[in-house]
Amino acid sequence: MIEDHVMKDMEVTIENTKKIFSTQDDVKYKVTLIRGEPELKVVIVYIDGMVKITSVNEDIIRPLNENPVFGSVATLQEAYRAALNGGIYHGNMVVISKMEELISTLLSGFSIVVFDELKTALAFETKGFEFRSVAAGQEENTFKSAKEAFVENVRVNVSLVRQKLKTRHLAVHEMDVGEKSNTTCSILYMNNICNEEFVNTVITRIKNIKQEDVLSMQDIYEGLVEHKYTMFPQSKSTESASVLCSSLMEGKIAILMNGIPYGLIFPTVFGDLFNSAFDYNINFALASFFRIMRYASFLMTLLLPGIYVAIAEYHPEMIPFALLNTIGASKAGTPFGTVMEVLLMSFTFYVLIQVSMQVPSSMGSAVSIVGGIVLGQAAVQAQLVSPGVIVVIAAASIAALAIPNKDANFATWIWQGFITILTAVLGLYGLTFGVILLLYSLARLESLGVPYLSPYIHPKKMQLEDSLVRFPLTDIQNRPTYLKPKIKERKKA
Amino acid sequence: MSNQIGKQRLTVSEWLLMYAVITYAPTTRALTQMTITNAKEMAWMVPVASCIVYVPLMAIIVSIVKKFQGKSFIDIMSACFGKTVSKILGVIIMVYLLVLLAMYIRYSTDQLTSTVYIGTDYRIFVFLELFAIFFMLRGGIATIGRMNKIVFFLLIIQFLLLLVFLVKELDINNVTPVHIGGIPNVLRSTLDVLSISGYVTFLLIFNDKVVIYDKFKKGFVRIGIFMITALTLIVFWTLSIFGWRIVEHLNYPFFQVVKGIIIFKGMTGMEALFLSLWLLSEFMIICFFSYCILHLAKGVFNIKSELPFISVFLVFMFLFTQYFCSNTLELQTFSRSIAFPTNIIITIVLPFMLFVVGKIRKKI
Repeated sequence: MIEDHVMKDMEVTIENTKKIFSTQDDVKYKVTLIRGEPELKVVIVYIDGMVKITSVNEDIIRPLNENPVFGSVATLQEAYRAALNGGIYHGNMVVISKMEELISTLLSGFSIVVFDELKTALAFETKGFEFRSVAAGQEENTFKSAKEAFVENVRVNVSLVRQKLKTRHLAVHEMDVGEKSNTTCSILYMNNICNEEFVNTVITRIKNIKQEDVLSMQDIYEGLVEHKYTMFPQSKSTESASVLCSSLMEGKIAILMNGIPYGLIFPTVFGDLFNSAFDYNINFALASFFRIMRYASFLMTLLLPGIYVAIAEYHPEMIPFALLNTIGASKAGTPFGTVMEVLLMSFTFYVLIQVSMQVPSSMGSAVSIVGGIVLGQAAVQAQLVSPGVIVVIAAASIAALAIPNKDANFATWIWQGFITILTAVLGLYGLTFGVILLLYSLARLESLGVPYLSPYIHPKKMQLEDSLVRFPLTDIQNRPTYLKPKIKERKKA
Repeated sequence: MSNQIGKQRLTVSEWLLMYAVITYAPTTRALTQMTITNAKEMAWMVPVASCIVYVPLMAIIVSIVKKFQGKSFIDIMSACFGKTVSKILGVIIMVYLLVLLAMYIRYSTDQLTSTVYIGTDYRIFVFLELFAIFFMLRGGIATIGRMNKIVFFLLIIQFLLLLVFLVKELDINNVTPVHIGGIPNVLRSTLDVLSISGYVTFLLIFNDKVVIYDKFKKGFVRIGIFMITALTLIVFWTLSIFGWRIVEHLNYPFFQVVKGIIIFKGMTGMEALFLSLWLLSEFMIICFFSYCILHLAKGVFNIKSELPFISVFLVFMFLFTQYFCSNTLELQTFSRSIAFPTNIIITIVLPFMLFVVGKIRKKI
């Protein structure tokens, strides 16, 4: 147990530190004599692996022995003052007078210099974690755009943003989250554009996260969102600094977290799930076409199996005779009804998705072969399912992948299954019922108080210039009004 | 949660679009048949002729909204008629809305059991509708408003597609001749249109839930023009395809029109798909009237929140719809002989009276 929260002299402080870190062998205690004088003894404490050892040697130990500033010191008090006044080379120094401060700085990668007979110590930033260097992203399309993606170090990520937005208006607010993990989070926003309400809400909600360990973005996400029981994402995650910067310029807030190579963007609305960085790097007409295609794909994923079930089981009169004939012929000999076939194939697809997410990428191709060819083709040849059903399920499921947001992909697949089951039971009425429930679940959602269905339900303007379609970039002159930005026009910022 | 829902507000556009959506189903279901009774082949002119009353009605609603921004319907009536009369009127309107709601629930379920789901017990659909309405009501008025806006856009797309698909079926002989002698009959039929377009009065029930901005009048003008245009188009298309003699004998004439659509070289039966979208509007109507009743009850009985009463109310509605009538014929008779005149009294006469008394007592 620590006897006192206030630091005592060196012996006691080191003793307390050793007690606290009794099971941590990577905490190192290096005794150093200033100029080799036994009465000028200091102890340098650091955690091996978290500090750059050359920095400890060159910036702390060497000056203590060789810097002329320490040449004339006779007492530890004088040595302490000399170190405080720049005798030790440092960019960031913290004066420590409590054990809690010592522990937290030590865990943050600082090296602590504890002076004998003194009740204060000095901590010097000597961080030297190993981290991945900036490289191209793995998960987002970077067609004709910057390839640099975020890494696990929050400082590097903030610097990536700063490189792109060289303005004094880029605000970076740092917070430590998680009572035990003390994970550094950076909240980024443009202080001349972003609505203050968003900033205050985000800061307050992050402060209210009372978890012991905040190690994933989901911890932050769930602490921030209003509606936890919905599958549709209320924030957008990105690994691209460019995407994050353009969101900041719209008036949104970004959250970067140490250890996570992604940024979270708030608020996010339904329309954002269908926008891709790709859209801003191609001709506006093509971008608009692709966006409409994504919406169509969303509807296809959601409704196609349901419509097929409803038509085949409840309303066959809707199908032209030739097509009805083909479907009838393909179904001949199959043991299950259309509903069962659709549900079976949908379930198989969900299993394949799960498998492809769990197995290492080296096994991915094997899964594709087994799933796509063996299961699909064999099921037809064995007359377990009709080819029509396989076409419908494959088309509907693959269409979801056109939606750039992965969380939205999953949500769409789950809703597809739900609507299909409702349709299987109630026909087209079930389909409508499912759509009503989906519509309800989307209409009630809000992201930081912004209605999720914005801008399509915006009272005055739908801002079609950058929602369902994209106008030429020069014609997109206003920021999204649902974000209530401080400066509405883009050019004035 | 209840506090948040209590604070929810609607925008003017969401508010007005609710009106557009709730009139869609009754219009497509019955308007053509109602108007041809007197106006025959000139029935398509009735919506335009109804402007004689409709425009002043809209003007009255606008002036009431302008004067009583943020006030509830009961407050508005109290200011004009006094507290006691307003409470009595509130209860009467509430009871009537209950009946109207039961009628709509039965209409929507009967339409299903008499067209696509022949032989299915209508109570299954009643239960499912009320089940969905339960969530929608709990979501609050803002959620309902947002859903309604999306449903409105879907209906518009569907409506325009219908008109396009049916263009080649139009026969101008069915909507002519237009002659001076027919005008009195057209004018006589305007009440039929007003019994539906007068639903705009119901918007006043949750006037206190709307954020009114300065140029809100524009919204009323736009929705008025839209309504008259849409009503005219529906009657014109139905009449032009079948002629009034056939329409007279049809059950759900607009639905029959849709049934005739053949697209993509032989794809028929589009009515099932279009029926699904109609169902969306039916859901919105039921939700709208349910909210109206709960909100009115809140004003009349000085209740703090509608939320605790939602489940009790919906259970009551489930039972009430079962004893309300036994078949479509009874429903139609009820609409014609009771709902129609009561609609006129509550949605047309009442706002006029409110305006006149308010003017006399210098409250408007």
